[in-house]
Amino acid sequence: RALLLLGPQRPWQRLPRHLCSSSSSSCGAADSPPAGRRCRHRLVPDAPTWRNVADSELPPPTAIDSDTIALLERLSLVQFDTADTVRVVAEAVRFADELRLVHAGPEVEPMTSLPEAWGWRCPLRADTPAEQPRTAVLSNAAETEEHYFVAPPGNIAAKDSGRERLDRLAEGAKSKASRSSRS
Amino acid sequence: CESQLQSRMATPVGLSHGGGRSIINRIAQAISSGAITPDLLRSSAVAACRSSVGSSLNAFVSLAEPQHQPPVANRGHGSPLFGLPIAVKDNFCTAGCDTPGLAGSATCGSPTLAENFLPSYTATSVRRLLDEGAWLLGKTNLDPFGMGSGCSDGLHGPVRNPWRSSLCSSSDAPDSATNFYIAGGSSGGSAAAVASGLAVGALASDTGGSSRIPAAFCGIVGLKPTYGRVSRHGLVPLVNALDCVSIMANTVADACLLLNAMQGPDENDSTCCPVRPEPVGWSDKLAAGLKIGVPAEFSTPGMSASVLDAWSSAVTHLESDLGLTCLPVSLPHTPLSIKAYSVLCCAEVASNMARYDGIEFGLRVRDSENSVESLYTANRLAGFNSVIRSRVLAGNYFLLRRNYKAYYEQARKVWCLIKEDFDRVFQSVDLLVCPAAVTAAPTYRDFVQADNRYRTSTMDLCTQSVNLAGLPSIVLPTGLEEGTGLPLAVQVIGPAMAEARVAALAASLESWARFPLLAESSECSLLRLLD
Repeated sequence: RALLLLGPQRPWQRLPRHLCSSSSSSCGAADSPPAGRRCRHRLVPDAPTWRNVADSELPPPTAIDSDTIALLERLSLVQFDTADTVRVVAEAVRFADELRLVHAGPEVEPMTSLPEAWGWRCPLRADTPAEQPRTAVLSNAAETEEHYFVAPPGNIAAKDSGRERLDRLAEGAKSKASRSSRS
Repeated sequence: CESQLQSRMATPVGLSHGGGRSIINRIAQAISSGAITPDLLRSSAVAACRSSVGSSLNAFVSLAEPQHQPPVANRGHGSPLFGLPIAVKDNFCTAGCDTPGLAGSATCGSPTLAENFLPSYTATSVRRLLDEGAWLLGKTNLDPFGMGSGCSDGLHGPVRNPWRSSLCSSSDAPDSATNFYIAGGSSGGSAAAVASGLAVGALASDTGGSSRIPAAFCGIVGLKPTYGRVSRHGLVPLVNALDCVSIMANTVADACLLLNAMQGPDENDSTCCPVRPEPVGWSDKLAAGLKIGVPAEFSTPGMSASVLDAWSSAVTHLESDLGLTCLPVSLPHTPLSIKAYSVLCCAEVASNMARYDGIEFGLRVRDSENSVESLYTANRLAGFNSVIRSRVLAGNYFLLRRNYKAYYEQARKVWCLIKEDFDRVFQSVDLLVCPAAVTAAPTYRDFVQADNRYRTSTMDLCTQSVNLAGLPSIVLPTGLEEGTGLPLAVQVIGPAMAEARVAALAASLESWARFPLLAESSECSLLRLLD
């Protein structure tokens, strides 16, 4: 399988020096443990084997703007509520951006589920209704009326929360992002 | 995996493990010899949980009331689990009718399900333990809906690591409101209960490391089976594609006893393995010619020297003392795994959390707007903390039409590559030995300096790729950190359905390590009854 990267290196395929050698001792190698400590087993890398991916290698960071906030809140029926939540979501997106550096061709099938990949023949239940007493089904509802669940009218859009609130969230997140620099 | 699935009839639970420490068997022997009765075990367990020392851990969110129970039934008599008090993480549905003395619940550590939710059924995994005669001591504390690595965010407050707390006789740590060590998450309550000896076994769930991180931090055994080996029916889903019912116990043998009682097909879970697996058991002698892989990429950013030392000691022992072949192996896509996991997790969370609207069950607020959209939004704002909300929103971001291919489909492709890395490695070695947690347990004060998202992105580095590949893993404590005296652990990973092979090596490391279990010395431990 060809897996090409933007840039000259495949960072995660580079093994530390002392794993490539056939000698057993790694004492004296550049990444050995501090002086005075026992040497570690030659197969345990003393330093992290991950390469730091520089921000400049990644696509430009996406800002969670007011329109995106409005769209996500409408789709999720969940509110950001504070600028800090916007910051966290922006950081989650940034964290995932490294995936976009991977050029996985059409021969790499997107996984759906492990049982499917393992070829398990998992039985599905027959499509016949299972009887449940109505009282059991209704028993956990906070509000019921004559054996019905009670919901408000559905054909009313959520009141427009106002551009001001959305802009405030987006701006607040931007200023938090410039202060914190974790990636 | 296909070749390892057997269809022979299962042998009974309690299969001898040819040695190995089993606390469950010690208790079972005391019961069958009449030295203690199940009633005494129950009342002592509850009393210990309610004691000031036991309750200071905040491990339980609900406890059984033994005085309201009928006398011990004969169901399960003869099984080593008979009369055994077990704890279950509070994201498993348990119905009051099945668990006398304990009201039905599955709060999931969240206001959303803390009211208006009494499960009408009991999770299959719990049901099977109860059928063997085990007794539900209580439901344990967790991060809300299983989201977190510290068990610090739940409705019921943070869980304290029993190590370096007032439970530990050699402690010198001031036990203030914030100066304690975290138990790890999201199954921190189960871990603290088992480590302190309040419970002898506990159920947990593991989606990205949620049973193995707390096991490592609390110095106990955490067993995450192969995906689908244990039915998820009744486990409130976080990520359906990755969730595993997992087990916490003080010894490898005990974890396997519990696994054997639960594993196998379930018509109520169509992602469960369709063929009944063999009960897990092993002989003392490891298979000849066993090859151990040491994956280089598991030396991760932020890994402490002490964790590296523990890893190194274990590998040195296997090679120099046992003469096993230890080989360097590479799982090249490991650094991408945590990123793929973050996308897959958020996307499924966005979907799985959609059901919590407050109409059929769960938290419902008074809403003045009187529209579905505003009521749902208000219910979910009141019920979901910022961690849950940020994952739902991030998940829906990744699932937007304009982002779907670049993020979600890409994550699914990387998932494929991660699984293939493991498949390839297991063609040349039989097992992997590597760290579980990147450091020993941090203090609560240090842990909360950064947000939940940052923490899970830096702490789950050695655990979530195992979930993506669906593989079995056992984490066991092998030593104590110099200076802090906190537990250090190693992780043993095997190919799909190779639990017996993983357990054999883990048990061997366990006898070598002779780790000083807190449950053997803690003042609230059930083992005191056996003295």
